[in-house]
Amino acid sequence: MKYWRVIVIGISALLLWGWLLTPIASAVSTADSPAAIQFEGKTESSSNQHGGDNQFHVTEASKASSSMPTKSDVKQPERQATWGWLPQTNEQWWLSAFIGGIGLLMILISCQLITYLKKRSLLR
Amino acid sequence: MKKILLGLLCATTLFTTAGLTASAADTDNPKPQISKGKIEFLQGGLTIDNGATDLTAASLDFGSNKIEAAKAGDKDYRYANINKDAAITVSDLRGSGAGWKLSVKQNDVFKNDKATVNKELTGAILTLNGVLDTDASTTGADANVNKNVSLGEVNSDHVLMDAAVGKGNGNNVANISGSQLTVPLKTARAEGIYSTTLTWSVEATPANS
Repeated sequence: MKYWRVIVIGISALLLWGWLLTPIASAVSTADSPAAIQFEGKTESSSNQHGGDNQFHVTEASKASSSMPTKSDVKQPERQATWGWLPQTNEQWWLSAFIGGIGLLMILISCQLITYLKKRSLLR
Repeated sequence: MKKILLGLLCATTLFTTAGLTASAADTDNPKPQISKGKIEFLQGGLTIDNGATDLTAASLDFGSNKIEAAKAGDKDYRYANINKDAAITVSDLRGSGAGWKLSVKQNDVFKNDKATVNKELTGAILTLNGVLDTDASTTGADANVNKNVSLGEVNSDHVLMDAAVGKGNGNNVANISGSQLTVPLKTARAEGIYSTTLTWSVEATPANS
């Protein structure tokens, strides 16, 4: 039982240390920006894609609008992280660390309580 | 005895007169006094464009282009960014001079969801050419801004701007208007808009650490 408690405390300390240390090295601020290009004319077919061969039959287009997409045009991709299960922002890290810390604290308190109750029942 | 008393009286009168004269002289020409002035700065944050999450200022627009054949000798199609105000700002208001690193990654290939064929601009490479905009930056801005940052690999971070320890305080603005998009000659293009997004991340760690 004593070994088990030592292991739990050790793992808890390591986890808390890991959770708290990681935000220091991780990104503190992230933001997205769009990039776009517009093509006018007839869509090229895959069969005649040899630039400079004059094989394209391009129809003139009358569009002259800016190619910058509006918000509805730009499909905001989901944030793709290398480690999807890890929190991605500083705030998320701190929240996770806080919740994790509270959870581990609850586990430790529960263990102590169980041990105390067991001892108490044995004394009776 | 009389002489002694007279002498004491004279001495007392002399001292009193001297004291009064000195006191009058102090009043006429007082000593300079010192007062203190103080200002305290509290630590701010490290942010991109003051914490904005939607960086319209850094939008890249490669224009509206006719689909036409390449000229003889062309190796690929090159499209220049036409948004001449495209820029990204890192504000280091921590006051610690601890350094930082601004990374950028392309989240996906250029896609045209409205196209029926050739939905992806296969092989297109976005190259960021950054220059430190000294006019828009804080006086003495000294961050390092990289040119020819090729975002060829999707979802891979590349450093556009960084500041070593002791550098990069205040606003450091990287002008990225000179960026360009390269499309291979063999890539078929559909009519319409191809777009993608870039994710910018600033880390509180200098690039060289």
